[in-house]
Amino acid sequence: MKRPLPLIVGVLSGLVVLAAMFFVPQGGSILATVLNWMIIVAGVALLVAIASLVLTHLRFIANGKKGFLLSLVLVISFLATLVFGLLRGVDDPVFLKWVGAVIRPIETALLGLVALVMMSAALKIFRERGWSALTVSFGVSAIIFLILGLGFLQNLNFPALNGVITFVEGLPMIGARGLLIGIGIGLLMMAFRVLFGMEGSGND
Amino acid sequence: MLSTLTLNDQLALALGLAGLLFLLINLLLLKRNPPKHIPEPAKEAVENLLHVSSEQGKRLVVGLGQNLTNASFDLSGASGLSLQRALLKRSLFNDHPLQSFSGDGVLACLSRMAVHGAYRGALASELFDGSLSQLSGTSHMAYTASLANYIPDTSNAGLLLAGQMSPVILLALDQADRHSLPAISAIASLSGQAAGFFGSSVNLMGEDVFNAEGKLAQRKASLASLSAQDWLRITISIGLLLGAILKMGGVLP
Amino acid sequence: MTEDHSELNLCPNCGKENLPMATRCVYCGSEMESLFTISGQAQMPDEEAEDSLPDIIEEIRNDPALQIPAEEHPSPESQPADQADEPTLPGDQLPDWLAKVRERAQEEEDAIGGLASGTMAMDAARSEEGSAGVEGEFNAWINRIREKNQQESSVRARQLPGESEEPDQVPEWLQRIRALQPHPEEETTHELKTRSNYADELPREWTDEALDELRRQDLAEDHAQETQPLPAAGAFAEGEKLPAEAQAKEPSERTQEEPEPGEDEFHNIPDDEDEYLEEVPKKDLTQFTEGEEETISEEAVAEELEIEGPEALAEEPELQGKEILAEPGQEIQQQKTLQSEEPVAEESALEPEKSEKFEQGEPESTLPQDESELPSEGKEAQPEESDQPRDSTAVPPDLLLLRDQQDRASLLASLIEQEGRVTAGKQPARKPSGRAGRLAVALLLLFGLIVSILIGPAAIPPETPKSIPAIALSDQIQAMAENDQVLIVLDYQAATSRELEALTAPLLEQLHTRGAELAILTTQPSGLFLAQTLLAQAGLPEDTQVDYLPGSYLSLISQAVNPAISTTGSNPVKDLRSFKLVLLVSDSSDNIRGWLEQIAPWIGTLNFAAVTTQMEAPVLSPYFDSGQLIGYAAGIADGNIGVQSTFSYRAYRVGLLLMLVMLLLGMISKAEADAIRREEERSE
Repeated sequence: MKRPLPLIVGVLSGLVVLAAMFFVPQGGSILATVLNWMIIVAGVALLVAIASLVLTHLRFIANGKKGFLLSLVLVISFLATLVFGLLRGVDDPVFLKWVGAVIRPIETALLGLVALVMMSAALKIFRERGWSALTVSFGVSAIIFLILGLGFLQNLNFPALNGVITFVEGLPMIGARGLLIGIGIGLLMMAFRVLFGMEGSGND
Repeated sequence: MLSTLTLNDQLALALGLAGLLFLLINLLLLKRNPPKHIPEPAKEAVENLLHVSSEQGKRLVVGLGQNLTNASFDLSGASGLSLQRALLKRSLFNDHPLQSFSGDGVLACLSRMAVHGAYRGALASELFDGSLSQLSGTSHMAYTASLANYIPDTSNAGLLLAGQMSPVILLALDQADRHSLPAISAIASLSGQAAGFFGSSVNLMGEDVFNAEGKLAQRKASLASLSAQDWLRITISIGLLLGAILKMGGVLP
Repeated sequence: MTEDHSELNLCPNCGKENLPMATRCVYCGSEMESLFTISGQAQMPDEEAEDSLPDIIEEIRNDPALQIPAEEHPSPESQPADQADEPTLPGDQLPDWLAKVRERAQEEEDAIGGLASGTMAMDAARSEEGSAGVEGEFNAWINRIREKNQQESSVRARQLPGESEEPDQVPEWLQRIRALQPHPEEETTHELKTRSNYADELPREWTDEALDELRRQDLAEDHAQETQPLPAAGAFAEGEKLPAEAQAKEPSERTQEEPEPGEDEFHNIPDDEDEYLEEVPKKDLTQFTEGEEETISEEAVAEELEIEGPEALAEEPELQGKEILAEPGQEIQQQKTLQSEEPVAEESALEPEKSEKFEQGEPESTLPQDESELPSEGKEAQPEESDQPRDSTAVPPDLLLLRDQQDRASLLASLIEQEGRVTAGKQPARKPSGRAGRLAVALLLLFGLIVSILIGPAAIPPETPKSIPAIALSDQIQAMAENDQVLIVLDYQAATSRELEALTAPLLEQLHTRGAELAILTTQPSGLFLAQTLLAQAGLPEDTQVDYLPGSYLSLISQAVNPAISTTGSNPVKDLRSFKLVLLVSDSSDNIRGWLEQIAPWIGTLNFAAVTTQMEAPVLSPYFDSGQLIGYAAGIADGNIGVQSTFSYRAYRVGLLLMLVMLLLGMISKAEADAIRREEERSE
């Protein structure tokens, strides 16, 4: 059963924040205070999560669990970054350079992989999903926008053509707005469930 | 004050109040009439994944996304939590319990609370293991890399992505495809949904992303909110039509 | 059932039973003489043959070589007792003709001849048909009875003698159990449903608990004094078996004693209520084969034993609870299983004791007196329908079921319901994508890109038009005056840094050139080292301050809502309202939305512009249309200043072309596969 006290605190906090949003001059300070609490809680939660992650992987290493070498890499990297950061400070240019030198190529390579995966997916998407209104419209629009992306048509500099291109470029927003409205509605209902304790705190 | 709100905000407020009203009405209606089972793609998809997990005695991997408080504060980042809870209740005593990954500190803690709560609720706290809900990378690339690294494990039965994710999550979907792992994506962001469609997965779009849990758990609150959602959708559609007519008639500027 | 089929002859034409001495079938009138013609046996004179015919038939029937294998008669009880009494003749005493028959039977596979094989085939066909049809009907009938029994018990649980009329004298245990009915309306529905299943509306008097108690009493008495003719049914399940003789004789005795046992045996209510059992079909029993009859009669004995003397039993209802205490959780679960999967009764019909336990009414009736002894899991397994309190004021607190527990119970019920159900849209087994194909695609892409880069630098043509939002952004930057404060928010990851830096650096350079005061803020830790590269590309001084804002959005919202905080706190950005423009450099449209929807409304005078990836740009379009964004740049063309050295426009185009080709190839291959399939279907 949900404990009543946390539930009441949660519901009241939500309602206070909502009310403060609409009565800004009066509720501004309350809202700012609540948000500051939230920043602190979020920061602590991140620390807790990191500590838990490290402990979990230490346990994996201690137990010799399958793939524990990766856990070893994680723990060593974490400790090295932590110690380096603590000793030199997070603003230290050398520290930032080292961190950037590791992260940037890795992430860029992964993004390159995404391009490759998208190409491979383009080849098989119709085989997997078959012909449907969604796949056909997707295929047609993808081809049109890829052609537009090449820039050949824009370089022709026909005013009429440019008008058509502008119109076509605006078309995806029709579907996107529909999806956004759907997401918004779903989110609104989820927010109500959370706000009134119907969603459960997780630890129920 | 209310008078200082823009037209957009006033409209949003009106819609919010309408949504609340619809929710309350549907709660009352559901209290009188028991909910009926309506098969839905979202529910079927998630249930199938769960069946695969149960039948094969394998693990279900859940990606909860990497954005609840990381950059912008977005409640849709927590949309996977309720789904995780619903799935957990059904798979607590599977050979391999559900494994979830979060890319946000708050999300990771909430997810762990959900896992612990589920075990405690089933009087099996001793089975709870902290590693069942892990923090992975806190940026979308690091998160995806971490998740993709976990997918090849032979004891995995399926991949469920629920929450806020970037299109880079396509890498994880591709990894699942390469290892013949069925995948479901219920991503709350538009670009993430596009990636889910492009990848080999059962892709939930729009509000379906938030519906899976309601359809699966069949809780009254969830079901009532689903009905209220439909009512709100109809209201918005009528509003849009009216707006278009008024605009064409020159009534609206 | 009273007829002995072993003494009858079957007509070779219609397969119906005739008396042994009949020469013509009484049903179809065809000759039965052929029955008496034995293949391989010389014809005897009529008189002699007539005298010896019954003996021959008897011999043939008793001959093990001509018997249907034992497996086809699973119930040993079905062996007629008279058959066991007949001694088999030793080999040396056999008549000649029989010896010949046996010899030939051993030599030839089909030596049993047309007569016997025809008879056996008929028997087999009949037994198959009968067993399929009759067994199905029998099972359905048994299920109906058990279901009825189960429903009865739920009604009777509240109608124990002397209790229903006087609620004040209801024992405490029953009050507590009744208190477990939170939704009286649901319960009422259930009751109505239950009653509608009966032909009569009479109250049932005996609960299953009472019957169970009776069984135990019977058993106890049986143990104490061996004078009881038959042990309780429960004894079978507990391993106490009847003596072999009794097992063999009891059913036949009973069948002889009761000419129509079908109606009498298969119920568990007192005899005086027999007349109300109209729905029990008579014909079901007449169609039973021999073996089945035996089985049924045995079960009927067990059933009958269960209901014997129920009056004596209801005196100690509390004992039921004590017995149930042994395995409460299991029992409740079993009941749930039974409720959701009624056909289980088929199996339970063979295990009277077990099935009796299953059928002990609604779960509340099985709850022990001392609820604290129940494990909570067992409590949670209570079905939702049954644990709604009838009168919430009378519910003892220790018996209240929590909503969560009800939820879990209903979840369990739904899981059991779904067990083995094939859900629609089940995903087919997936095949992993071919690695060779993937490698080919990768090599093609790499080859195209490398070649296009190696050919030489290719900047975007200067005449390439920018998008409208990018032109609007450019105009805003051109409109900046000296000392105008501009906030640059870096909110992107290393992966997208190349694309965003290529777009942002020229803008920063322009702003710097115009003398605008730049404040650079990052909401991501990675922004600290990413900013270094950006500043270098934009030609800004290396010592330009880049501030990290912990708490990112939340901090900014609180600052926007309450400006006093920013002046007193350690915020690097003292006052958002002092900026003329906020340039959001982000690879996430959601983050930009967050700014526009959560922060911008509080600072009306602030202008927002954005730089984002081409992938995220479409989402920003409505915000530009509504004026929330004064402009945004996304993609290669928008960042075109004609002099980018780090970017190869040719490689970009080659990449797009390859993607286009792949998409078309995918469509063509799918169309081809469909065409081939259609062709194959047509040819078939």
